[in-house]
Amino acid sequence: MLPKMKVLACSLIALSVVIIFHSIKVLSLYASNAPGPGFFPFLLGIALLCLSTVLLFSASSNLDEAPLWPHKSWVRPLQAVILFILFALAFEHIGCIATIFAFSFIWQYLIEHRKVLYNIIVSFATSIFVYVLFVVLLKVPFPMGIFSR
Amino acid sequence: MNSIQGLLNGFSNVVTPTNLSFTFIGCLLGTIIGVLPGLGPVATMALLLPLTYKISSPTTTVVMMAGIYYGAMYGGSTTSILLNIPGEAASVITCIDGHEMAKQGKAGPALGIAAIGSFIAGTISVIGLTFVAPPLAEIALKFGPAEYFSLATLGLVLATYLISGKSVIKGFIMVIFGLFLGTIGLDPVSGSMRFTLDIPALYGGIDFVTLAMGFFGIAEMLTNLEKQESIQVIATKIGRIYPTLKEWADSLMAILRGSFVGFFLGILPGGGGVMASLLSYALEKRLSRHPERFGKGAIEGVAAPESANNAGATSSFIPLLTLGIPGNTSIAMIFAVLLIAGIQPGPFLIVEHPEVFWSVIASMYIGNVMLLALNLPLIGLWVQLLKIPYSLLATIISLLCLIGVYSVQNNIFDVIFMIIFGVVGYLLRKFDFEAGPLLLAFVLGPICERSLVRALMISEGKISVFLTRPISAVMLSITAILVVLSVIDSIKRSKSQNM
Repeated sequence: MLPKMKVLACSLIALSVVIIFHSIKVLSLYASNAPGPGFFPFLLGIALLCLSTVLLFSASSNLDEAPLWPHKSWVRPLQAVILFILFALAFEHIGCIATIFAFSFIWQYLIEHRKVLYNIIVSFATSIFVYVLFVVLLKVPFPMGIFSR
Repeated sequence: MNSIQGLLNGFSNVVTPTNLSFTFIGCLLGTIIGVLPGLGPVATMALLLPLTYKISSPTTTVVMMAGIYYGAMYGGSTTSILLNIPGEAASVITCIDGHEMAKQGKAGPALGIAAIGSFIAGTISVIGLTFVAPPLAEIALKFGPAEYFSLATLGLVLATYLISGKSVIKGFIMVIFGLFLGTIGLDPVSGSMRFTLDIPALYGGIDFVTLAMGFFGIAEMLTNLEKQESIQVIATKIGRIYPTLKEWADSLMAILRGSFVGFFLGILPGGGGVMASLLSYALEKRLSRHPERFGKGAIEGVAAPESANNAGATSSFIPLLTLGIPGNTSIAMIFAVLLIAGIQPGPFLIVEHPEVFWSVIASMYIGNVMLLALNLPLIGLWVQLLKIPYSLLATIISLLCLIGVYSVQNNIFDVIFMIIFGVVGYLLRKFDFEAGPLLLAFVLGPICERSLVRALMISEGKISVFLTRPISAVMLSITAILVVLSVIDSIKRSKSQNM
């Protein structure tokens, strides 16, 4: 297996090639004797290519690198990301209050392993806090979903 | 308008119920987040960015954000002294002697000298800011696009060189990444769409709030979620807070030296509080007649770095207010707040918006007094804050990010982009890439590109324009030297690691 940093450096080199290619072919470097829309991104692409190449060659070749996520430490961040995505998908359909309550409850239950009664109290308090701050005080027109009249 | 007259006008603007309240809210929030480990001033400012759209006066918004920044420097010492955990990066060095003092039953004087030193240093620094900023802005007015491009480039490279911890090359890559993200969307010069992948939500470019909340709010929270341990509050007796005459005598010169070191380092890009506190600690140790006391509870070891980080935090406003160049990530947030309010930071700020310029400075005088009042008598209350479980904070932080970013444009795509940036930021942190340089570059990107294009248009495409103008040539030479040194250093380090 390749060292992780080398894989990352190769990905960055690929990205820089895409930026350079796009700047030359799709955008233009020079237009009517002035720098075109691709000029600055082209310079950035070149700089990224050079720096990524230095990173590739300076990255450690040690194959026995420490794991990125020791002791299954990836579980809670992954759970959080899934919960964020579900929040984004549900927010406009179910409405802000129900989504905030559900998010807070699931977070405390799944990620923090708290007791149900504690979860209900925290979720209720959090929902009221966010509702008062954004809807009442800041007058943000959030979708109310199942609580709309 | 001279400095004294401007400052008096600034005071008359700040001493209104609204502005005083927001200065106080900023100082209070700054102190709280300084006390709470795992939530820094940048993340807090990112969380509050959506609220700034709802505040009508730019002065009010900026004085609050400034309060958060220098307030965090005050609050950061509390956890360093009591728990040996720095509340924010600039208080790392305070742990050494501060916590030793706490173990010896002298937590009170340590906290007291940290607050008093911070007050003295903050006040000295803001006096310096009052008199240094206007003439510097006048000099900057003479800068053309070539000088501005070179200055922005030097600012980015120097800041990255100083704030990047383990690898400067990674810092530079983040700079390029940030500059690239800034090019996405409509090109203001040609009107062409760049790198939008035909996604309509990207036509207007990436929103700063979305990017900042993703890379700081979400990414920081995901990183903290990996840690299972909870913080235990040590039952340390705080006791008397006010230092004795002997402790005063030991600390006074350290506070003054720390103030000046902090002030001058804060002006440099990348300087700010962290560098200032480290250097002033080293300086005190070197100048001390009893260097062996350092690390064993020397009060100068608390007074000097705490004074320096506050002085540095205040003086780091100088490049922002006079040159329009944010020197560190927290200042980049304030830069963005000004842009959101339709104000371009830089030399014209003092001419076009003197009320904002002088009000920010005046608010710092008032904020320093507020912070002293908040920190000394209420220290016991801040210690109680440490008992709030991180699980509860994490839920609130996540919701503030998700709801906050949605509230800016009522667009769910912003939330999705923020989650993506958060995950990318989290993964990059795993590889020791720091997000600070990316955010600085994203903010400075448009200035860099605009100045580059203008300079080339004026010179009819001659790149030599950057080298024939003396100020530009000097700045670009320093930039080139720093980049080359970093590359050589990186290669040397890899060779020694692979041997």
